[in-house]
Amino acid sequence: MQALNWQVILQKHAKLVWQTSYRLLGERCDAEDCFQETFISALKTAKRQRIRNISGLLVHLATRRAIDMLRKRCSQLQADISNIDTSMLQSSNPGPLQQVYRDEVISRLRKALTELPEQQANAFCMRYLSDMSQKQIAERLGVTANAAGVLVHRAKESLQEIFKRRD
Amino acid sequence: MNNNKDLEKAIEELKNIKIPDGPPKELIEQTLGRLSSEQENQATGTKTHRFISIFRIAAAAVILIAAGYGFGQLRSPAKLDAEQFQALEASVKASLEPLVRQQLQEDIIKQMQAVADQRYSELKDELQRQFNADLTKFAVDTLNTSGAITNELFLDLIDAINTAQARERAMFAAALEQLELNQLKRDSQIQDGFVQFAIQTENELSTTRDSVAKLLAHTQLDNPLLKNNETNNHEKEN
Repeated sequence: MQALNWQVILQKHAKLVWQTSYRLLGERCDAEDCFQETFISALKTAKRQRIRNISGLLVHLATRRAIDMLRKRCSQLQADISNIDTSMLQSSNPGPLQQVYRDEVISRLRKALTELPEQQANAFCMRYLSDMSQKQIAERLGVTANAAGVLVHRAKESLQEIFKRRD
Repeated sequence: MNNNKDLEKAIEELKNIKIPDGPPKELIEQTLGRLSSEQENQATGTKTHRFISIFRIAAAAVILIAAGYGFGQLRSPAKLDAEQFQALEASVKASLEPLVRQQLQEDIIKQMQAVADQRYSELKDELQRQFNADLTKFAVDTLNTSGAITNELFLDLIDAINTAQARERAMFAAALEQLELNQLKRDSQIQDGFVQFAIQTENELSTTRDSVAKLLAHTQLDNPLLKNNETNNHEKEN
């Protein structure tokens, strides 16, 4: 087992994991669960294999965990889309309609991500939300760089298809 | 094309979503606690795993020796003598020993590292706790000592005040006694003075009366009016 100082790792990468979790889940409570589970999974991974890029691993684990959680609350998410809070329309904020539109768009994307195969969803999130390179994604998913590129491309195509189907 | 734009827009929105500051400090502490307990569980698991590994290697060695022996028995017409068996055992031991040693060494190093990490964390907590306890004890001792010293000083001050008050009272009593004595002395002197004055006055009065009597006696003999009056008085009586 690789000897790692988890206190230092936690202090250094906490924000990254938090942002990754919260961005995908959009709820504080779920993001906190995802945060903890990510570090526990990282510890278990460190027991099994040598870790070269801890931040990459944490982003991958956080993304995977968050997508799992999104899948679990898929039906609830669907209800969220249909029950958009219309009270926001009466808000004094400059763009309540834009806010509602933005929330709807984000919810649609989250929901669509849960419909993708796991590897595609992970690859897509790592590429577009965490700005990881094709090489880094490949390293994390244990595939070649080309295969990672294909995964990302297919994920994007599938998402477009899902968006089209809903329209 | 429109779907492509929608997707791009959705990605952009999700990427730029407003994320609250975090993670909260409590969450980090909670996660550290979970990591620590997980490491503890892993260390226990590693220990068990190490014993299982050693046991497996030992079992494999025994099986190998037995298989070798059996194979030799079957293949060789002649029985394996003790020397050959010892040589075989030595060669098996020589081939297995480095492997077992290396495996054992790796396991021990891993376990030591895990234990060292855990001990480091525990030691840090313990030192922190001891430091706080020492600090508290020092503060309590200092307070107690300063309290005792203050009490002693207060007692000394009270003693000094009592002594000063007693001395003042004694001086005051002595002064009062002296005043009383002086008063008595003055009273006595006044009394003596009055007695003396009375005696002198009486003497003076007696002297005056004698003088007046003498004067009257002389005055009656020389005055003819007084003589006539006396004669008239005798005649009337007669």
